[in-house]
Amino acid sequence: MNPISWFFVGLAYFAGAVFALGFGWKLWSWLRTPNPLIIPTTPAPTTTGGAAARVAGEVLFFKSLFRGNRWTWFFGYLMHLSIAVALMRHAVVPLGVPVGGSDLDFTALGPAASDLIRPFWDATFRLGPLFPIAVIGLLARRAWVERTRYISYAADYAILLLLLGIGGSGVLMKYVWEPDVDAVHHFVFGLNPGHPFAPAPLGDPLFLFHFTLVMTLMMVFPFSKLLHVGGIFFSPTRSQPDNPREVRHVTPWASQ
Amino acid sequence: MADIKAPELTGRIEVPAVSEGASAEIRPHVAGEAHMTKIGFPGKLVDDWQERAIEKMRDLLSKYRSLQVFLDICVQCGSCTDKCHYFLGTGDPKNMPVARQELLRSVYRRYFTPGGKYVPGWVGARDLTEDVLKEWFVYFHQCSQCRRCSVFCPYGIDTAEISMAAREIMDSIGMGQKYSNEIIGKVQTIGNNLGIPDRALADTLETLEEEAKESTNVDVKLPLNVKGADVLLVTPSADFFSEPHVEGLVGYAKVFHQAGISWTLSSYASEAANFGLFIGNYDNMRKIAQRIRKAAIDLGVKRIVIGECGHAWRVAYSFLNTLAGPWDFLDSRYPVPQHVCEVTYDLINRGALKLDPTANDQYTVTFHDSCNVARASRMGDQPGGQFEIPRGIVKAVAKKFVEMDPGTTRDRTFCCGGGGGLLTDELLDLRVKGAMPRMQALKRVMDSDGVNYMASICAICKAQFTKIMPYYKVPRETIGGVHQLVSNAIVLGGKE
Ligand code: HEM
Ligand code: SF4
Ligand code: SF4
Repeated sequence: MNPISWFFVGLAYFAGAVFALGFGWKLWSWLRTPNPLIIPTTPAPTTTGGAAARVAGEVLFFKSLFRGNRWTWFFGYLMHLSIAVALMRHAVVPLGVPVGGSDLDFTALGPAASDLIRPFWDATFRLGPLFPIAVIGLLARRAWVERTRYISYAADYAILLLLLGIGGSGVLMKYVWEPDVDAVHHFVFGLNPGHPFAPAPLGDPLFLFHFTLVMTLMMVFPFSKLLHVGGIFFSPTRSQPDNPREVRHVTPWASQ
Repeated sequence: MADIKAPELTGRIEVPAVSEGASAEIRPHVAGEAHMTKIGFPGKLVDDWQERAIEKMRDLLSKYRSLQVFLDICVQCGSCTDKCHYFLGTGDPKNMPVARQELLRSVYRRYFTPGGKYVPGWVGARDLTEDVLKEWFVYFHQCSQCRRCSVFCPYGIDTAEISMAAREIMDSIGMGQKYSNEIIGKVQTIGNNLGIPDRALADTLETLEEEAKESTNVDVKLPLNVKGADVLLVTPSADFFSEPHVEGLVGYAKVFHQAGISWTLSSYASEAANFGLFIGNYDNMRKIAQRIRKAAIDLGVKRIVIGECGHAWRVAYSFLNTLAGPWDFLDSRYPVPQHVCEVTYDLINRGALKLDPTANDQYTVTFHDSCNVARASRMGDQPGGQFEIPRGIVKAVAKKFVEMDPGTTRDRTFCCGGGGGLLTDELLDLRVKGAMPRMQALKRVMDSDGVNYMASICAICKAQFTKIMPYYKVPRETIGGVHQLVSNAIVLGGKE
């Protein structure tokens, strides 16, 4: 293995550690901090199950954003859907399926289920180009609308550009300059603990670009607004049930 | 303040262009030493205020998950930017909820996050300078803590929580707001916000009884400090003295009279309002709430009922159990506490009140949802009861009822412009402008349906509209209470 390969291996491990420790620390910090008062935005469900369903509505459909701003919802939802699909398709890699292939075996689930899932799975494969389009939509809104321009910092643009870089290079690899899939595979597998390290595919700069941006994203994640990924589950205005008259809510610091 | 001009009433709510600094000069009076020390804060700005402010922030971050999560996760998506009535009314971009949060968040980033420490310019982090503190004082007193922004935020980030934390930090370093702090001092020594002593309160209630007797020929009582009564009524003290509030108080009295419920007011807890909420100070809020507990025990009542007041209902409904419970010594057949609207609505449904809605025939009524009732509490046992129950009462006591634009009612209601501790004269300019969205929606139904009565169940809304409606050339009598209508329609005596 040459030094440049070692650099990429080191980068991956470093980014993974920053992400896991940083995000883990934040989750722990939220978790240990109490909610002294019951503050759901009402009308709110009165049961824990209802409140969980409310949070699910936010996570799966961005319901409040839908009420707040249709354009942001549209581009935002599209972007997140593409991210979800991309994450799913990438997660398939460790299962032994080539990045460029669609030959995941669903037959274990039975022929009926397999026939049902197959077309959807294959269709997700063609959604790639929507991702950059959605990100450009969000960028445009941010820069054009006076109010969002006013509230935006360099970091807000930078994160979208980072995602655009990741999405754009991903799409290019799929449709224009396909990398040496076997070499990429070897390298990525080699990153798994327990596997021997494999050299980075140095002949595929586009892949290295894509990979480096993803590692950058992982490293900024715990220190940026990307924390919304976990925070949405901790927001008391959405996750608390509305039952203060029925259940007495006490917190150690607040009851002395 | 003759130079205060209300926006033109067109019946439409338009999002203004951003106008930097448009309301930067509107600020409340700073609390003097006496008002500060009385409720446990330093008398004036302490020397090491920067360090103390950051320490206070650290303390609050460890006590409130809401604050920590809200400061961490905003994605600057902009969904909240056109939702605040103060932004819509002033065009000042720092009144956009996210920009208001940023005043605090920028300092949080600087002192508590690596990004803010090493690349402040990139992520929008700022040192806590004197200018920043001044800006805090201005714009955290241009938030009525109405929670409208929270409704439209994908994460439910509630700017009210941020404003409360900011005010708590400012109080802790000696820079408090006179209006709220003076009132908190009064409620803690005298028992109510207006500072009405026992004797004066008793006199007022007597006068009201005499007036009720004159106009109805029935002995409607307004009892004070009666031991062994079933119900303790805790109501905003404005109900004792202010117009139109007092008409509502007479309305509650008539309802209790007609239903044969024995009830009493307490001079010790002669205030439902709890400004401890507005300044985000847990200790003061708790102390004020504890007065209700003491009054309930001393008078030996079985139920607690709260009068028409928005934030008071929030504190009562959402927090009273936490702050002053458990309530196991009260009658468990009734929720603790109950809203007077819940009581009246229940009596109406059981046919226990005789009503003559023609008594309100001169009115075409609409209903203004008060923010704290709408977005921070409930009535009845179903979510949304806080919308249905007051409307149910209004429809039972008046024949002509019209809804305003649904984008401005229920959980999307607009604040009156005077909530959250801003109901003070030096903020009048802001209050007039902040009322704009509600006034536009009202104007529309005035023109289209001849609405001439806007019912509300909040003492602050009533006081605010009474004051600002003339600026919009709308008669101040247009605002009134729900129980004021009940008072008109209820048929006394003749229950047989
Ligand atoms: C639990 C999963 C997630 C939920 C519920 C969620 C939800 C949201 C919502 C509601 C918004 C605001 C609307 C918008 O601008 O799109 C948002 C913004 C954003 N999200 Fe997520 N998200 C999730 C995961 C992720 C992930 C995994 C990433 C990237 C790695 C991401 C990146 C972003 C970015 C960059 C923005 C800001 C967009 C802008 O600047 O306009 N999100 N997210
Ligand atoms: S809580 Fe109300 S007043 Fe405060 S920022 Fe939000 S919308 Fe504006
Ligand atoms: S709606 Fe919420 S996440 Fe979006 S900018 Fe406003 S506070 Fe931030």
